Amino acid sequence: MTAINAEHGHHELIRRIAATGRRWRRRAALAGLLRVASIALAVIAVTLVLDALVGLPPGVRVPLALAIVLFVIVGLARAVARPLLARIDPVRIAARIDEHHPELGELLESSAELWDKRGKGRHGYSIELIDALISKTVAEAADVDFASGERTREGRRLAWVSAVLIVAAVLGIAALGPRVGPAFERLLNPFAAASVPEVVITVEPGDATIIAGDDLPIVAAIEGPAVGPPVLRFEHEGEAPLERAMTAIAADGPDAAGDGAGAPGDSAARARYHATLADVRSDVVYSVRSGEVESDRYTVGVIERPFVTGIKLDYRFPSYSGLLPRTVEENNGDITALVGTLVRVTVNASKPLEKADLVFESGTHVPLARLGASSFTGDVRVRESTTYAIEILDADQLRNDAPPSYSIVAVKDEYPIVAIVEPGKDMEVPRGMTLPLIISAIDDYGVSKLAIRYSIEGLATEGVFEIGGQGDAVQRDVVKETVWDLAETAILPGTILVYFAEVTDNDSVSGPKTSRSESYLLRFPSMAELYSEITGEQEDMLQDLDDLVGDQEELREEFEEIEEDLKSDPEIDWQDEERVEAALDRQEELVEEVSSMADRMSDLTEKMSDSDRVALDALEKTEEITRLLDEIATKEMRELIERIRQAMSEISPEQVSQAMQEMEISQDDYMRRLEQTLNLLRRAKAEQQLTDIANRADELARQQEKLAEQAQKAPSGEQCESMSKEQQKLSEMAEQLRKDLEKAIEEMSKVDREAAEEMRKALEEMDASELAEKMEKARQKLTEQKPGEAGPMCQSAASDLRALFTRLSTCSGGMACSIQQRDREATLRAIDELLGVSCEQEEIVTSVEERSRIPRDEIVELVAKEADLAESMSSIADRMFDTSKDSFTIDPSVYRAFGLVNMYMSRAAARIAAGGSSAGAREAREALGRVNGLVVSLLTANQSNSRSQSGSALDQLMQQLKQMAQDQSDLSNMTEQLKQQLEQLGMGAQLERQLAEMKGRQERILEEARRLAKEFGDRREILGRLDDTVGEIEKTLEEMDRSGASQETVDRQKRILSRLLDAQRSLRRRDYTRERRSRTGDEYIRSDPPGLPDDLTRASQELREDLLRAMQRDYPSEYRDLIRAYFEGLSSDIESGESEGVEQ
Amino acid sequence: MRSLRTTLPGLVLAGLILVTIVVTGAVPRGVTVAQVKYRGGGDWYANPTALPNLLTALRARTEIEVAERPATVSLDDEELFLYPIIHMTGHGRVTFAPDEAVNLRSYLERGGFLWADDNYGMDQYFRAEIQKVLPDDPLVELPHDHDIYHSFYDFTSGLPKIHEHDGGPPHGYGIYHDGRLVVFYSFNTDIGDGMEDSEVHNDPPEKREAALRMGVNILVYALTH
Repeated sequence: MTAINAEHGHHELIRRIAATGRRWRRRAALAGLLRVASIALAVIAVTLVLDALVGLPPGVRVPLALAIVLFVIVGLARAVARPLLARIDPVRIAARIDEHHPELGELLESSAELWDKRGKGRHGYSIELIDALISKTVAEAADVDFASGERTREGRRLAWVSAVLIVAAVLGIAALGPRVGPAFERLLNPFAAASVPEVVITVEPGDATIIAGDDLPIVAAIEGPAVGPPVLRFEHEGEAPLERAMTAIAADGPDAAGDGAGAPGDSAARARYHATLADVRSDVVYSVRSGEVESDRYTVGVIERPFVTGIKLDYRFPSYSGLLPRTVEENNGDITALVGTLVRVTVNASKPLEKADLVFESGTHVPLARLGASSFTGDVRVRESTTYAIEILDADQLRNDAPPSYSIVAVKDEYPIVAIVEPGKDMEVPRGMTLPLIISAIDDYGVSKLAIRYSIEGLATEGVFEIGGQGDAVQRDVVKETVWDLAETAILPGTILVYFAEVTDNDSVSGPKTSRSESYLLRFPSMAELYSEITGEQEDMLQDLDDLVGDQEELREEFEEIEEDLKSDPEIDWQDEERVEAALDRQEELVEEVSSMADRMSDLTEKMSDSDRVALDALEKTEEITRLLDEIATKEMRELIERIRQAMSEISPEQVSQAMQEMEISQDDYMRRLEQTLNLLRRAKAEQQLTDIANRADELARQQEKLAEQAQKAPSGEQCESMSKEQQKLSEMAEQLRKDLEKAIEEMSKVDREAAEEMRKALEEMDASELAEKMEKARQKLTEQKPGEAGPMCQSAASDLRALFTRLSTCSGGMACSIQQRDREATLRAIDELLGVSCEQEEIVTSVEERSRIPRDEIVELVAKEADLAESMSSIADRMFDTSKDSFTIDPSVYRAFGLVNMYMSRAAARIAAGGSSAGAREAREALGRVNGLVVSLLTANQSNSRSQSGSALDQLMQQLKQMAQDQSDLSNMTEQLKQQLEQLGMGAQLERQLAEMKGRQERILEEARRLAKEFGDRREILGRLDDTVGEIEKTLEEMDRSGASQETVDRQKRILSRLLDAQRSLRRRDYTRERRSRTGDEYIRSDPPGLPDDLTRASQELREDLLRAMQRDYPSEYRDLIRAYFEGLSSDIESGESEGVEQ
Repeated sequence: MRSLRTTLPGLVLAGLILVTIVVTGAVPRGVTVAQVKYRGGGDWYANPTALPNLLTALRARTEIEVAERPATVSLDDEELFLYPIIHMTGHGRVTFAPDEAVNLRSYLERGGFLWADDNYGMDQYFRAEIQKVLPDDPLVELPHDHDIYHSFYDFTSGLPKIHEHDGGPPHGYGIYHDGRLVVFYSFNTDIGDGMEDSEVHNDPPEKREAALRMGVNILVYALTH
């Protein structure tokens, strides 16, 4: 080995030895530290235990503390610091390594020791020897781990002992529990005075978490000398601290269960106390204090159960209901909805949730879907009434506490209701075969279909008159007005149509529901029924009127007797008074009866006016009779009765006599009026019968013609059976017609013999034509399936019936003409005679007026002449009445005028006879004036009669007015359209043509209006303002010439239409109203209506305003309902109070 | 106080109308009376010169600024609420559809005023239809000392008789709602005929004057109550 190699080997060895030395040094320091620490800890533990248990006095604690500190310092210096600081001696370390590795012998030690001697030669070792030794050592130690032998048994024991000491010390300290703290403090502060024995407070539950609302029980265990019951100090978050004495619950020591006080120094005492904080809703910090000792402060956190903070309900109603979607955000889960409604329930919770369910009454759970951390949603389909609750679960697995139950009320779609508002009663087929209908239908969610269903009694056919669907729009309350064309129902005279309204709702969930209204009858009276009804009523009235005439006649005789008795004995005694009073009462009764009869006649007129089948002339006559009856019950008669009563009460024979005289005149007039009315009624009835029979003949002829046509067209054998039946029916009707004609002839013979004769001839012609036989043969041929042969017979029968109709119509028209002629002649004759009377009366007046004294013989002559004139007046009046008592020509008031003339003539004669020329002249002049007035009245009546129109002309007038109104209405619409076109396009050739055509139409209307105005010019009371209409139309035409179609033209045409409508209404209204006039208004004496009730003008607004104000506040819905109910209650209280007040 | 309370709805409505006028400029300047174009077939357009004449008279005789011509409005029209007073007349059938009845009721409740004038023949229909509108409020005859007969001119005997139709005295009826007269119904007088141009009906001047005066009274009453 070279020197260089030896040196390198030596260095390597030394390096390894030094490294081992450093390692061993660290181990030694660590072991020292372990020893010192374990011993010190054990001592400290022992000291603490002793102090905690026995309370070491400072005299002991101080030395012990110093000893511990000193031991630690010294121990650390010696056992830790010194090994670390000691110099590393390679020779010694090598020797120790050699000790642990015997295989090395002393090679390491030798090598370490000898290297320093290499080259110095002091001990004689050669360099080669040393290098060889080193080389050997290097070689031998190459695989040896120098440090491996250091882990000795002593080291392991040290480790064990230290570990045991440390564990024991820790256990000892831990066993002291809370007392270790004070003991440790005392050890650190050994000079502090001893507080032996120590009070130790153990508190349960210490720091904890509870659920909001739960109670918090706190238990404190007190160890040590008792100083009384401990106090619980607690402090809710954000609130001032509070204290509460705790209650003893058990005792580990002898005194603990008492008042907690123990003997001082009794260190073994232990007591348990408790206190409960109820319904804890927020975090709380608490501690327990016993005497001067206070436990640690503990915190109890509060966690909330989840709860529902908001419920939103989104209603989506079935589409058929037409209800708009609705959202309710009132945090009320109660659901009330129509069956089929889908309700989306959205729930918001107070904290994040894990899940949420709807729990139904049946137990079914429906999980809700998550919308957010604390909100869930789900759908509920309303099918039946039930309840549900919302259960929620939060992340801490806490459920909401006692979730409330919400109701689900399933509202069923109700059946619709329908009613026929108009006519709403059984009635006869109205004029024009059209029935105005107003139908009201109500359904809670909408009406889909409305119809009239009908059937005709006796026929199998049923029909429907569709009033129409209601479209897409939902209509819950429908009032439908329509006009039902009854012609489409095939209703025939003599049949009854039963109808009702049917409504169907729009329930598409449960299926449409249908309801029906009440059924009504529509009677289409046959000619015979109508005839029978009207004539029956007329018959009754005739009878009553006849009785009335008889009664009045008797009463008149009674009055005459009374007057005679009073003349013979002017003294009025009690019996006279009674007799007069009884007669007056009876007269009043008769006046009332007449008045009542007028009402009946008015009702009959109205009834007749409801049907198209009664001609206007018949209506006019009935109305005239009503007017006559009205006039019979005169105001004058009532006043006269009162005057007689007054005179009787004043016991004035002269006044009574004068009043009785006037009563006589009035009664004559009265009787004449009654008789005239009776005769008029008889004639009207007879004429009505004649007209009815004529009309029935016309109808029969029409049906027979139709059958003849059918028979001629029908192929052999076909439809013969039904035609045969039809022919049979017509034969029966013809037979009935014949019987009625016979009866009518009998009736007519009582009022008009000539007319009756004409009717008889018509009957004879009917018999001679063998109508019945022809009809029978036609029926037989039809039965034999020979329609071809039946046809001519049917046609012949139809011709006979047509001839009958013509004859009867001619007779009816002729009657009117002959009556007019007769009355005209009678009136002219009366006028002639009255003019003669007037001349003679004037002579009397002149004779008397010009002379103050009249010779006796002349007086006799004048009186006789005046008496003759009075007699003539009566004769003229009687003749005229006898002639025209069954017509309307002479107004009955004329006869009263005759009576008055007679009276003044009688008075004049009496005055002249008494020698009073001036008084006689005055009476005679009055009589003369009245005679002349009578002449003027009769002349006027005669002129009117000569121009008067027949009833059938009024029918024609009505038709013409209707047509004119229709034409004018069309023309007005056209004008309006033309005006718009002119404004947009201006006048062009086409519009010019259109305007010309419109002018032509307006001119035709003008011509017609002119004709009617001329023809009916004297009937202004019927036509109203028709004559003014002519002027309006003329102006319209001028405007059309000037400006085409302007707004003025449109307005004027509307006005024309209004007037035409007014004229129609006027014509119709007069048929059943008693006094219809169209003229400038008269002044009426009128009574002031009573004052208005206070409650009407007093505003219920105060309550309403209060209610509105209250409702504007943001109260919950339930509370708002209560508020509303409260105000409604107040309101009804006020109303009932007021009504009670009124009753009192 | 009571009069303030009863006048308040009218003032509110008047305010609304003024605001609407200012904002939209859709309505002529001044108070406008609207002629009701009702359904049913009656001649709602009857007496075409009556209202213009009445408005002229109102303008000339009072300080009230009124439009020159009346407007025309249907009952289902939203513009109904633009007019403080509406007027209806005619000879025949009147029908209020359900929605029209609701609209009219709403109009009357909010301060509107309806003057119905029977032109002869409207009576039975009007009574039935107005009953639909205000079923709980009866049509009552107004006493002669009612303000409507004294609001501008004095009619000591109540409604004047202008035209004769069926005889008998005229009658002025009213419907009160919440203490306020909301409907005035002139019956059996035909004031509208009287207010028409003089040559239309050739009424005596005093009758025409009486009709115009009563018309003025009705409008003044409606605008001030």
